[in-house]
Amino acid sequence: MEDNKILNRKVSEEVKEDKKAKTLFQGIAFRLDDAVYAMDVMTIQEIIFANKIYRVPNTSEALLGVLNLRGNILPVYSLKQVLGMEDRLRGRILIHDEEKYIVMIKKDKDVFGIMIDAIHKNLSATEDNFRTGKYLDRWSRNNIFSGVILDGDKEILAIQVENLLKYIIGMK
Amino acid sequence: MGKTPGNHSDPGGEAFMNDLSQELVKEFLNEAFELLDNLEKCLLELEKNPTDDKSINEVFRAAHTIKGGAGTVGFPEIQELTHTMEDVLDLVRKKSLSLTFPDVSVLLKCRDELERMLTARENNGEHITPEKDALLAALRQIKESNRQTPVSVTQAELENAKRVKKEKETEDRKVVVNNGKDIQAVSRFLELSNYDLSLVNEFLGQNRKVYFLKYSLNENYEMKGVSAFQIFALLNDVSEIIKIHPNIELLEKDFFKQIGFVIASDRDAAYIKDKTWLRDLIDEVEVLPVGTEEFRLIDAGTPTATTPAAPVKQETVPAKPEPAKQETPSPEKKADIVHVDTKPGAKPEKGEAGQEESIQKRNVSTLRVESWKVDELMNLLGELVITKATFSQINADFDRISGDIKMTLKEFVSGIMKLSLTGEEEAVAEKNRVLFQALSDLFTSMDSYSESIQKLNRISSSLQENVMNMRMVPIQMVFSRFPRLIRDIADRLGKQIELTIEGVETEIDKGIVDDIFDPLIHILRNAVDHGIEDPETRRASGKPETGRIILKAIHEGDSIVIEVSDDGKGFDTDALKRKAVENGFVTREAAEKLTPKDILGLAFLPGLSTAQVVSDLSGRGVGMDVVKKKIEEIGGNVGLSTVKGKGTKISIRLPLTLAIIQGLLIVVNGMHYVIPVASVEETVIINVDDLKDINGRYTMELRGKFVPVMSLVDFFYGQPIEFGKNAKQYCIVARYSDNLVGILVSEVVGEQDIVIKPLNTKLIKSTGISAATIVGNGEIGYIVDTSQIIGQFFRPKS
Repeated sequence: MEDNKILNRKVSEEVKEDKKAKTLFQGIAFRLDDAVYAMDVMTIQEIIFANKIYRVPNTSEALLGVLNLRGNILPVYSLKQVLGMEDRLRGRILIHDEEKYIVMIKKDKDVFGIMIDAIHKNLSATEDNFRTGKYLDRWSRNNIFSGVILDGDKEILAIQVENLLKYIIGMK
Repeated sequence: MGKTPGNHSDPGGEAFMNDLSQELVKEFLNEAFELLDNLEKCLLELEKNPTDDKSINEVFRAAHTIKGGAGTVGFPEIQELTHTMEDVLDLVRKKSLSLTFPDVSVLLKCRDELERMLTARENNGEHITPEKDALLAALRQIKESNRQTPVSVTQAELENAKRVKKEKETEDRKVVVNNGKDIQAVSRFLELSNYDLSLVNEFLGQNRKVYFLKYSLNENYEMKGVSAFQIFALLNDVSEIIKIHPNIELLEKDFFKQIGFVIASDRDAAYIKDKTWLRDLIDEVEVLPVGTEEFRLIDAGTPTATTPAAPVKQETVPAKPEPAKQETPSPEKKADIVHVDTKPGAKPEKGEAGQEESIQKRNVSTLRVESWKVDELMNLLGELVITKATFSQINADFDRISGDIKMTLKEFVSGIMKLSLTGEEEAVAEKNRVLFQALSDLFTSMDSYSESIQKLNRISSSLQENVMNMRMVPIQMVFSRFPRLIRDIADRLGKQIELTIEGVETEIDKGIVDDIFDPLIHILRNAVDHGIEDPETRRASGKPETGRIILKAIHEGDSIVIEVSDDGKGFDTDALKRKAVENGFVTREAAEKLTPKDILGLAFLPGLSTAQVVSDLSGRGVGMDVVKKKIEEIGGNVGLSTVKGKGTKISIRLPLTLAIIQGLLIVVNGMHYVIPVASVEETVIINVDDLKDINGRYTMELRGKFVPVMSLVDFFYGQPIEFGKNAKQYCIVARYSDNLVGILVSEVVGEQDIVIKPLNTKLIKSTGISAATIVGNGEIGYIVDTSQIIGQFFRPKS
């Protein structure tokens, strides 16, 4: 019996290994309202609990404001607004006591945060369930996605950080 | 030669060697880049005065030192080039060759090539191009041209040259030190101090074996720079090292042919000799056991080693080529010895030796610190300043609260005193007295707390000042690159220009150095290209053929002023006006009404240049506007004055530092903002209802003058000023070019040290905000860009 269990575990681990070999995407999936999005884990510097976010006057509304992360003042964006969704925090001068997470992203020298509603799960995708190219045409602002991950009956859009950053910089 | 670094007889030390060589390479590169700057400066000097001995020696020294270093770290291409340069310079030094203008140009090109090579090496690459061979050929040509110096060579100089040559020959001869030499000679070489002797005596007293070791190192070994340290490491394993000569600091800087140790060990002489015998590194080793008998001898002989007696002894044998010359212990000869040992064939003249010594001395008192470490310190200091502000805030709160308590307590206690009390109440009164006592104790300690805060304030300010100072570098760092630039441009344009640089010692924040370099280049290029006329024109207008450009830096209060003035043709204001009209910046009518000052302001408009010919240097219509923008980005401003036919002066005013500023902390719509004190003229309190609407702008009367007023709440949050409430508000009066502007704010907290926290301006583009800060209570505040908000305020309506 005992031996069997160990053997079984070994087999299942081997299967996992097998899957890993073909992994195209490894990331964290998170929720914005009811929708689920994913982001490559390598681009995520850390995930922090939203403390105080101070709005910067005369800036785009998608920029929720700045926060103080260990002495550095860094911008936080509303991913909802970037994706064209309603965000009830829009235009608030000071955001605090919100039960929200902020995903801190680092791309070269630029560090910024995006606010999410909740973390969904860890997620990896292989050739079998990762779709790119024309498949993305159905979504608006599809230039900021790298592909779609089929996860059960859900379609999870994977965000490509370079393009997200480009989009943010281009915002007025 | 030809061995790869790390190929030596001690395979176990490979990793150690690699680490060390990494360090060495870094050190070498640092030093080499510094020397390149010096090389350039002196070459330019030589160009003006080809017989300037000091410059020749400096140039030679630079080439020579780079060559030595390149050999040590194994960069053959650099070694080759510097070696050939050195050959030429050596001839110049000995007056058997004089340099011409083209020669100096070749040398300058060599310098540039060296810079490229060094840069490539810095990035772990190699820069080897045909350019090098061309330069080598050119150098050889100079060498063979054998132009005798026109200046008559004095007999003394000739003799000197002969002596140098002779000594060089001596040097080339293989140095052999006999084993079993007089122990006194070795002890003299070791320059034992009384302290060293007492240590030796102590070890002997403990029945330990003491040895004097003398190594003669292989100067041809590729990695000779670390030989001494390898021996040191090996000795350290088997013995206690009492003394190393020359000392570690000197060994780190230079290669010494002869090094000595005093060690105490339990091993015998043969073992120590075997253990440290590294075939490739060492030519010769002596291990001399020191017993009590020998010690007495040495002890008795030592004082003479430092008295004039020793040189006398040395002078008795000067005629024959004494192989042990390098070991002469005479301290006053030391500078020379350093040279003989490290740089065979480069016997310097006395003057140079002295100079070198002074340079070495300077090095010792300077500490090279990587700039990120200072930046880190600056960040920590920022945190400290913020925490300090928090403490002050808490203290102020304490003060206020304790004031309230004191007041209440007094009333309470005096109230109790008046009551007639029963026994039980007496007990309560007693408790009250205890409470009263406890509270007054608390107040006392709070007073000393507030004193401590004062102290903390003082310490933190002087700390701040010191760290700021650490970040300050002489502006020479920027200026040193310009003489060459001017020379090259002038050369290309066929103009004669003399650049005078003043105030090179003026200090400037390291953070600004890179930011002012480009603007200054623009300005200088403009001056050379458009300012200074060609020699014929200058002669025709009665000016000296050689144009003058003066580059000057001075401190003025909290700013640094950099001025570039030339004696060229000045700005043609009429042409400027015409161009502005042609390009549609102003209408013809408006142009006629412009004051001379306004017209000069046009020069800073993008796309406006009065240059007749568009050259590759300047005059493409980009330039002055970029200069202005760049300088304003770092918190400075640019001024321009010109007299037609006489010249132009451009002055740049910069803040001393960028990291911490004095700011007026204010509150707008519940958020903290900071207005830099530098832009505040005064703060007044006004009644909002007294504002008058003049031409669509609110205006207040300030000492009989009308001053336009803007509201920050309106600017940042779009909330218009509320009238009719007889509300008093703070109004900060700021200066914008020549005009005063009032800025209405809801609340002024006070003047504070503000730590600037930069914002990522690529991501956060906010009109009117230049950076952020963290205020005392940990909240984020924004630093107001006053010139931007005022500019914005004036724009739509004008």
